[in-house]
Amino acid sequence: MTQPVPPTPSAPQAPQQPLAPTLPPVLPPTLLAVAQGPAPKPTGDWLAQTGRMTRWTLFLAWRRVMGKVLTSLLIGLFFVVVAVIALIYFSIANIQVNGGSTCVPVQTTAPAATPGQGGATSVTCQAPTPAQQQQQQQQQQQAQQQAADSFRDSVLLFPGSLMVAGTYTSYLGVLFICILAGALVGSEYGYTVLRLSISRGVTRAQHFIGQATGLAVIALIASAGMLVLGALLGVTLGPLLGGSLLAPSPRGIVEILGYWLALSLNLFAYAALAMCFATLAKSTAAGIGVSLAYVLVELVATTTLLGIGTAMTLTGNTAGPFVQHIPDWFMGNALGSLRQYAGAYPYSLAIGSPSMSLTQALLVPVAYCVILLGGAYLIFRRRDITE
Amino acid sequence: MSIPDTSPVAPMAPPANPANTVNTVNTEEVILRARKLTKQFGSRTAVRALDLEVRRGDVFALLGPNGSGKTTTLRMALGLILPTDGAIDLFDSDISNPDLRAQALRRVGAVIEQPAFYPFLSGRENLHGIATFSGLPAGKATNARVELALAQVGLASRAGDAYRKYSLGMKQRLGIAAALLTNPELMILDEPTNGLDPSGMAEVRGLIMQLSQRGITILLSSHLLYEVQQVCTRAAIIREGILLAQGNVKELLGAQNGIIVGFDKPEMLFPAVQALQAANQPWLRGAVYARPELGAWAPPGGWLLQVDAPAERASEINAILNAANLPPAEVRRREPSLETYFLSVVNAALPLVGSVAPVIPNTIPFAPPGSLGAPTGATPAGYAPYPYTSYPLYAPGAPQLASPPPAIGPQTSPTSTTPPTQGGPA
Repeated sequence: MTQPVPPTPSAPQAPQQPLAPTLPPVLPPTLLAVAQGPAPKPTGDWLAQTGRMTRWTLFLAWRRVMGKVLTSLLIGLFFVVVAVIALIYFSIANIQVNGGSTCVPVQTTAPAATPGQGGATSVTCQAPTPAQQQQQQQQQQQAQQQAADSFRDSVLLFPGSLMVAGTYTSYLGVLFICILAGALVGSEYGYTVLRLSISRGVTRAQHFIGQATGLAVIALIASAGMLVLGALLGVTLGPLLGGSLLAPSPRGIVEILGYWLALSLNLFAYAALAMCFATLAKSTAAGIGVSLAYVLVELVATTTLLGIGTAMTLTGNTAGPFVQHIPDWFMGNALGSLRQYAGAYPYSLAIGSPSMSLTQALLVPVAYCVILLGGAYLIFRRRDITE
Repeated sequence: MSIPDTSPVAPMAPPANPANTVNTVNTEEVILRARKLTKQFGSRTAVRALDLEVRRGDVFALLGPNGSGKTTTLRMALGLILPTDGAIDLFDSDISNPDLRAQALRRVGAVIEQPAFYPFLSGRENLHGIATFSGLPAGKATNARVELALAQVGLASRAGDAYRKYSLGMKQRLGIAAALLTNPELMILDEPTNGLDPSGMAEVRGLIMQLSQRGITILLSSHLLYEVQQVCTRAAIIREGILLAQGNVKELLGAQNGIIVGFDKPEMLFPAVQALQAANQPWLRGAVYARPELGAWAPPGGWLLQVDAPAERASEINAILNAANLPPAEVRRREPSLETYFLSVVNAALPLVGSVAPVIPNTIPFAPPGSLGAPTGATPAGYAPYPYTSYPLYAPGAPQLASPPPAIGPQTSPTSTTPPTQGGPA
């Protein structure tokens, strides 16, 4: 009987087993067919790939919890605003009309003290008769109803309801798109996923344009969605409250389309602002923070400059008008004027009147977008993508 | 990590390039060439005038200590970092041109450092993203491809889970699946075994071998030199962005072959060299003073003799020395090790002056066989590899011999030692 020889450390090792078999033992037939068939090959030109990047940006916006939360908030708060408006309408329409005036003015003329002179005329107060009281109440009720109807027609009935949706979107929508754009762009750096696309052959131009186009589509969809929501409100709640719908005129449809585009540009310009700073600082916080801060600073600066300019004008300072017009070069004010131009006639979808020419109202935001996105791209295209 | 018994490579369809198969690999075709590649971050130079050549079919290891510029180099190859100077040709396209770069990168799969994916998307959605970036058309073929990649790395059952819920090993596997998704001709793997357990490391090693067998060229960086030695065919070592060595792994390690002789008395070293020279054997090509490997027996004085001779001649060397009344305390063959070689190259006290890279022999720091004792003009001053700190000492026919080395303790830092007087031919 031979004793087994214990292996020594210097003993030659047995040949290594292959670490993995050459063929998988089990693969579903469908997968096996794919595995043995040709692999899909890249297709499409530069534009097609940029389109894919745009769709990917939209997909990311939708798949993020933030995207869903912001969308829900935008819609939910809109219904809250509509509910408040409806309450205001009901309060206007249902204010208790009191018994009317207790004084019916009666003009009396006293006899002349001196012949040839007219007597003194005075107005005295007499208690109204019941018929007069009823008439007064009816007049007040009519005026009240007219005010309520006018209010309803201007904000709760189509197309006036579009004005509510548009104005609401131009404020809250701007805030939300700043948050979404800052998060979408900044998180590419935060999650260090930028390298996924760039190292796969996506050019930096395609990546950047895909993101910007994605945000533009989001702006178009968000403004369209809110206007559609406003329109639905106007054709449902308005008639329910007694309003009479008018068939939209072709000119009115053109106005709505123009207003939609102006509103979309409004959202996109602020998204570009957030995208720019998120790219420059490689940070979500910077994108969101700077863009929201700009909204606030622009508001304060506009108010301040208008006040100073008005005061200077009133005191005869010739620089007053110049100071008053400085805010016309702010992005938000130009966008406001653009919305006012787009929504002026026939439906009056925008409140107020523009403070600058249409050309300026259009060119200023476009110039902002070009500078913000162009500057960010110039940095991005030469930037090293590190951790 | 435990990848199921499915080969991550075998089921993949053949590469698009018909030349990219096992039997028809054109190993002379350079598919990645770095030319005087330089990258500066502010005042710091991360990569200096680096010249690399990765040929089709290579499993090419880029080695270097932390901060040596490996990842920067790989990122430059992927277009993530733009070179300050120099250029990279990928598939014969200069990737400084964005359009050419985009075309070339579609033939590359990469896992750079820790895989990064969108944490709120599932593994499947992330792979669809990779397919989108790679230009694959949306449709059944791409969907099936994604499912196949997930199945191959054992993530099919967790494909719908958010990436942030994955373990480190699963994340690494998803990274490999992403790299394989498009049948790349070149795979760039930066620390591919990071975060993997030993089983996972072995599987990645197997994966790399199989990829290579299929003709896929691999460019990888790793600190696991044992792993690298198992799989790599060629290697380059860089330190502080400078190329120290580049070449075929077998050739690089071949220079380490030899026989180590140790003595109980340091004064026996020099007579031993004389005795070996006097033996005048054709297979006895030369000898150098060497220092012991880390953890190996250190003789008194701290120096060993490394004889450049076939390993099977150890007993004859022993006999020669015994005949000269110089009985060695140790005679053993020296096993080539990439780790040892790496340490000897990287720990060399190279003077780095300015941004000019010193001229380093492209093969090995040791004198090539047959020329030991002949100082090479290409070896820079102060070049002192460790632990095989070797000083050319003897070569057949050399008119003079070196004096014995000074006594050095084995624990002494190599950078603080005074090398023995250089001898050799006058």
